[in-house]
Amino acid sequence: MRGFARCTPSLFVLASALVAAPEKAPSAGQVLDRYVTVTGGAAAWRAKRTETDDIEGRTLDGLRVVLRATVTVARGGNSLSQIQIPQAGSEGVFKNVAWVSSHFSGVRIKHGMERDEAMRDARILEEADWRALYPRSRVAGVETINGERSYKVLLLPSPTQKTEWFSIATGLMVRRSAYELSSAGDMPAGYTVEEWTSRDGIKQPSVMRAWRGDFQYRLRVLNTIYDLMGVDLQYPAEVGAYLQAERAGKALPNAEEIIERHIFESGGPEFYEMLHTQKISGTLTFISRNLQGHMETWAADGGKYYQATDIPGMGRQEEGSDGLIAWDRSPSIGPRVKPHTNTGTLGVTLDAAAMLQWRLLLDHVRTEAEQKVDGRDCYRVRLTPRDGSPDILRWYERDTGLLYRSELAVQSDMGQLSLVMTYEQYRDVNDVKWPSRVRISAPGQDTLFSADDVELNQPVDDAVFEVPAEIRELAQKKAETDGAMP
Amino acid sequence: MFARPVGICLLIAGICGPAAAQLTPKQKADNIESFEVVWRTVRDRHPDPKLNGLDWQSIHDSTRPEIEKAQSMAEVRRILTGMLDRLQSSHYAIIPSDLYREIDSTAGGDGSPGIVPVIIGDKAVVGSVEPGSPAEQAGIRPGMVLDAVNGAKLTPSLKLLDNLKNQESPRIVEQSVTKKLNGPVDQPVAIDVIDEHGQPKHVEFERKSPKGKLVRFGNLPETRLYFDSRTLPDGAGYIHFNEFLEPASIMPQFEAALKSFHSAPGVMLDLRGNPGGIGIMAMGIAGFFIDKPGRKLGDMKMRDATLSFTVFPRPERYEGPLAILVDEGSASTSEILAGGLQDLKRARVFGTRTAGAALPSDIIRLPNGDGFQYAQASYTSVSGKVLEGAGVTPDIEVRQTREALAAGRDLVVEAADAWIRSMHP
Repeated sequence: MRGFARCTPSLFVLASALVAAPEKAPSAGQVLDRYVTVTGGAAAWRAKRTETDDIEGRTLDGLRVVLRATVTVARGGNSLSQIQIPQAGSEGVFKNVAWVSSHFSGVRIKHGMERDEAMRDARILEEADWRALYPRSRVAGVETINGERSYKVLLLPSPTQKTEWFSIATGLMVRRSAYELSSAGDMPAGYTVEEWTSRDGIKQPSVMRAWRGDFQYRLRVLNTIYDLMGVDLQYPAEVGAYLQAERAGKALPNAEEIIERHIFESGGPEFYEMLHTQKISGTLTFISRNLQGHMETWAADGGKYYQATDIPGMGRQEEGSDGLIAWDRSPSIGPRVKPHTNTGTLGVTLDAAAMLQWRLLLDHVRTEAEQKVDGRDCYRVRLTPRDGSPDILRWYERDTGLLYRSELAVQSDMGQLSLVMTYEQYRDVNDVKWPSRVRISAPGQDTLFSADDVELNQPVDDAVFEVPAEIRELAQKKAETDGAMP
Repeated sequence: MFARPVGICLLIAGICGPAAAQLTPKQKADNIESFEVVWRTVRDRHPDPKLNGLDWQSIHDSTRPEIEKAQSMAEVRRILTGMLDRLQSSHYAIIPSDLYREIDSTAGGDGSPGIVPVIIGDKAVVGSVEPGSPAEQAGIRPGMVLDAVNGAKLTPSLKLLDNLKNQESPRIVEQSVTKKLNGPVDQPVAIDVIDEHGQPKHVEFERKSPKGKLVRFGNLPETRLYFDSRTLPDGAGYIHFNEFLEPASIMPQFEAALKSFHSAPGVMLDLRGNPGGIGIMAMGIAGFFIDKPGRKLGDMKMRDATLSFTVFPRPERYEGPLAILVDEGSASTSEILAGGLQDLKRARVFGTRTAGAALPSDIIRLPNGDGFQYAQASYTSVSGKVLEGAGVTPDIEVRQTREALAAGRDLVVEAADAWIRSMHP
């Protein structure tokens, strides 16, 4: 059963056992052996050749299914998780190849530490042989978990800091935690056992309160079958095709890894989590018109932004939002209240959460090709949004990992426009790489933004985001017409 | 976003440039390269990616040998023009290098005598005289026929009309006459006119800086921009500005004028002679007259996008009758605004059919020295009318006459005024 939990939110490593409760602190071996004993005994475990579990995860209120999968593991280390929710996909280990294949991002072969962990986690039917997997395990103390005094056991070696707590009273596992390795980075995950079920002589957790990062849910084992006939754990055809391409040197990196690499290379998830304000000023050049303007942009948490561009002859073009009312104003068009979806021209709304949780916005991503763009070797990645809006194409530079070009359709006041944004230059700002020269190509118009000054996480006076009085008045009128406050 | 900023004064392919002598090897090479530029530009930029259903590659393969064999520049132009004609689109033209030379040879200068010429029939007539200008002080009056400038008869310029079939032709000639009238400030100009009694008159006076603010917008040449607004004797508001430029200056004046006309029985927006400019200003101005959001003036279809000229209602609007005055010189943004508000039944249009030059076009110089004008988009008004080539047809067609001008009357304003009064019986 350890295998299923690994397939999505931190797949769970199964427990070990304790033999008896000694009067003084026991060794890890004693704790784990006792667990094997109280869950059925080594002989019972060793008699099973395969285990197949149907599992389901729901939000704590029970209303929403967040995980549904069938997980099969076989003695010897092969495994296959077939996942229906949150997305169609599969994951497993076959003949020492650890892989993931998802609707979201296609095939990914696990390498290095991630592969080692997957291999180890796949051997769930070897509970009784835990010494082969974690020979240097040790007890790190006694803690009270859910009101039960428990031994805390560090399973070693384990680069993901696998830790399990075993009840001193019953010998059963109470909690398990580890770091889940993925292309998105290490994520703390684990569960606390709430219920146990015995089947065919083996006792296993059947209801667990689980977490992955800040997200909590309840996991249930709906059904367990040992030694199911006709189990085939071979990887799917697309994984075979990928491995063949890999052997021929033609395999492309997985799109998720490419996108995550950009996040890491440009500053890392910690940076984006800590990014609360930005102020950028620079020059906006309308290339074919030989026009230049000065642009200043402020953004802060909560969807607040303000952007002002002064173009000779055109006057000041402003747009902004205080997080509630989005607006723009120019001499040509006058003051307007905009729909909330309409953010700044350069996408200046500061939304670090969106940056880090980009997966939530997309249905799937694929690496399509390796291409030369402006003389740079790039991977072309296609992003398909969940909301049915047109695909986004992105080119990531192979050597630096940074985003070089993005081609997307945006809904403007004048209809849907195709935009090509080329990040020609990044500048080091506060130890992160910030795009300092961006070329924006729209139908009939090419513009170039060159940042002169970039300030990140500096105090920004909230007055900057204040909605002008005439816009507030418009919003009030609009709300009265629509029957709702803005 | 930008509609064609100035009237197309160069749309006169084939009217000049007599056949040159034998082409040099360099000219031949330049002609072949020019052909390739023209062919590629159409392939890549024509708003219709299907190129009117033509097999463009096949046209390339059959046309190039003709260019290679051409014996004169005139023949090259004829072949290229023939190729472009197959697109059946306006705004495609080969502009002879000779014409560039003629335009470049004019004196230039910012000085003006204060005369706005108009072409009526086959004559250049004084359309208006700037109050207080040297021309007014010299006794020049609207309706007089302009016969010669600095001793040179205007007949050759007027003869261009025989060769030009385009709706914009009178404007091209008007611009040609204007260029002849203008020159360095404080330098004298001699004008021969024929007055309303058929009597010739010779006057000389110094040019002065014309009214308006000198503005430059990006690549466009410097131009004089002015804005006028006044209340007419019957109480209607009247607004006129000569180009859609400098929104930072024009739009606040427009808004202020409209506020002052708040209780006027109607407003006239005079777009006569306005060649267009910044397209977004059409949407902004329409917002002063339209109260429902989501309305649009029309669509501009480019190769890779369709831009809707959406109207954004202003917080304060004028809701009375709106008359828009147009003529053959109303082009581009003027047509988008007039045609759109006409389609939306928000304005009644008076005057003569507009230039039919709504879409943005570019002119590039070819390796052989000729110019090549090509369309970047097609424009359809909200009712589905293609403005390009056709122009905006006024609801009430009114043509100015020399006699009316001489009598100090503006027949178009009078017609609009009568309509406004009829709306308040």
